Amino acid sequence: MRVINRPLALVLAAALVVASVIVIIEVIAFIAHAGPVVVHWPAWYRWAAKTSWNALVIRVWSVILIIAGAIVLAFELKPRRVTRLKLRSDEKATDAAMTRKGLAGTLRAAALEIDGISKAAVTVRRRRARVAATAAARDRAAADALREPVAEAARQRLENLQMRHPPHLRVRVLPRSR
Amino acid sequence: MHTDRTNRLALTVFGLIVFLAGGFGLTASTGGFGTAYAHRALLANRLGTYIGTHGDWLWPAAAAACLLIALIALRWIAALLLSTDRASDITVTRGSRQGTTIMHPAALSGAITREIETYHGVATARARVLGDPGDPALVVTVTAARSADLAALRHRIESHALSHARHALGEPGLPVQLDINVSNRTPERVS
Repeated sequence: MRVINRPLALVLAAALVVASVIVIIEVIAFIAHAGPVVVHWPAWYRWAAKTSWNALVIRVWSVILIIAGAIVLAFELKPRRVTRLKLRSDEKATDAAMTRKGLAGTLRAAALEIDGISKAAVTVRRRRARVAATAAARDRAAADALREPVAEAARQRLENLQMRHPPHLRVRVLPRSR
Repeated sequence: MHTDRTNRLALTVFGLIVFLAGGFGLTASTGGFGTAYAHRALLANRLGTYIGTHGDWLWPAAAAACLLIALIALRWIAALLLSTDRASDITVTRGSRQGTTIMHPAALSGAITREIETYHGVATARARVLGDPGDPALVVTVTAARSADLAALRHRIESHALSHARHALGEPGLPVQLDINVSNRTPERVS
């Protein structure tokens, strides 16, 4: 988001400068009784004086503006994805946090430490962490038996981290497919 | 980034203006303000008449407003392209008798980085000193190995490296943002 906002902001700022300079030039030229300098605004004026609101061109441009505005608004007002999950700290001036990827990595490592787990994928959201582990065995019962050890290992990791708001843990262990 | 809030606010305002302009145009066009209004020319309204009759002072005023907008936009561009949120040299004073020390932020961040990277379980570390030199803040990003005891590592960073940084600057309340990441690299297995 931040990465895209910067070039967008740059384009908007540059457009504002260009538009403002054009208005200043044209106003000065008009006061000095000179003709249009940069843009031929009298043609625009004549077009606006004879075009009515119900013209097709107005409808088309209105729809374009609504869509463009809605896209920009949706993009800017969409809540940012959580990247830092805060940790408890004794020092008031220290704002310690675990990155979302870091937490996923450590929970994945905890799951992989359990004997019988061959793969694990972790997704971390603001309030929820989901561990999807794959057992080395093809047997469903064996996979189910590993669920609690994996959950316990992940829970232990979360406790050790002393998170301010630990995410709700959800663990699933599937048997190896083939 | 320090211009992030400005960017977001300006783009939101821009989006809102564009959306409202489109909404107004479509409402007027489809007869939302009355059928008579929909058949009128774009300039045949109160605003158009007002601008037409007061153009002698309105356009110079608009030009002055545009000058202001252009200057603000230029400052915004400069902030986007040139400025940094990193702190410049920090003056450390420890009482009138001991004089003052000028500390380059890179020296502090380098020292912290090197210290943290010696800790067991740390893959990489990065530190930056941000903000005003008179009121700096430290941002430390640590990537730990997967096998690291994260609680112990964090305790060590807070009680040693961050404490050293605060002592070096003579600021016990130095705000620190500590971000802990975990390396993606799978540790090699010993056969």
